[in-house]
Amino acid sequence: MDTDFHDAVNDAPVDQNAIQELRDEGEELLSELVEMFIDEVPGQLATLEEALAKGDAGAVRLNAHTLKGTGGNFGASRMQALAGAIEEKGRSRSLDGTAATFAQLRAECVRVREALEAVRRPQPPAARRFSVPGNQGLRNLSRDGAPPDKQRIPR
Amino acid sequence: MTTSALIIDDSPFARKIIRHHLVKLGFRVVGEAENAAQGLRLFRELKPKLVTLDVMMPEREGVGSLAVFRTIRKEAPAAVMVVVSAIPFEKTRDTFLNEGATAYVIKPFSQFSFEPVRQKLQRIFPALLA
Repeated sequence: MDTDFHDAVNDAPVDQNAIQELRDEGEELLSELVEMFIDEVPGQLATLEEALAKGDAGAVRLNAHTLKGTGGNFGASRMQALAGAIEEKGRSRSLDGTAATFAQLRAECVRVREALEAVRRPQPPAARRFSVPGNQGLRNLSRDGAPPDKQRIPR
Repeated sequence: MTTSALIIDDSPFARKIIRHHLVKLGFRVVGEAENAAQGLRLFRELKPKLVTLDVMMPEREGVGSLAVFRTIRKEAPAAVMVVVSAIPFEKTRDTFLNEGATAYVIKPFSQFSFEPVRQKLQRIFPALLA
């Protein structure tokens, strides 16, 4: 059974409260964590993709758990939900249907990265929102316009 | 004199955030390990007063978090152990707390989730920043 992750959780890629909490701890910490997301997540996705290709349920569970935790730091609830769904598949050793969820997860990671890049940049107060009307393009396309199942987060 | 701490966590995000909170509290982070086996080696070498240990990490060299937790408790009962986990299961939490963990913190961290730990650590290490 497919799960509609858009309906299941808040649709914003990151939670503003979580971002503000990190910002309250220091702009430098937030900036370093964003850099880390940009650097680490492509590798985390590649490792998960490899585990899925091998059908290694244990590695799928652990690597999906890592991505879930990564998203959790920024209140990226949809990323967490998608990674959590794959983690559960790994735990139950039933990897059927995970390819589609993985494609959604990879696309969501692009969306989260875009949101994080935006919060890292100094902005005027009125622009400090993630839910930008008309920003639908970020949801399904990477910057180069690749379809969701071909998206990669560039390092 | 500052109090030494070791962070054992496979997530670089968690290590950075934990380090931030510990340094803010007045700890000196003497080492970071990304798996349990490496953490045990660093613990024996550095002998920190405080260890934060992630529950769920990929097993390396056949060593997992619970085994390392028990080994540290046996070798250095005075070391303060803070267990960090994304698993909110009571059974897991109770296992570690019953075996001597000072605190069990659920990830992701926030100023609120870390606050009870901060209070406990300040009671145990009164020389830390108030």
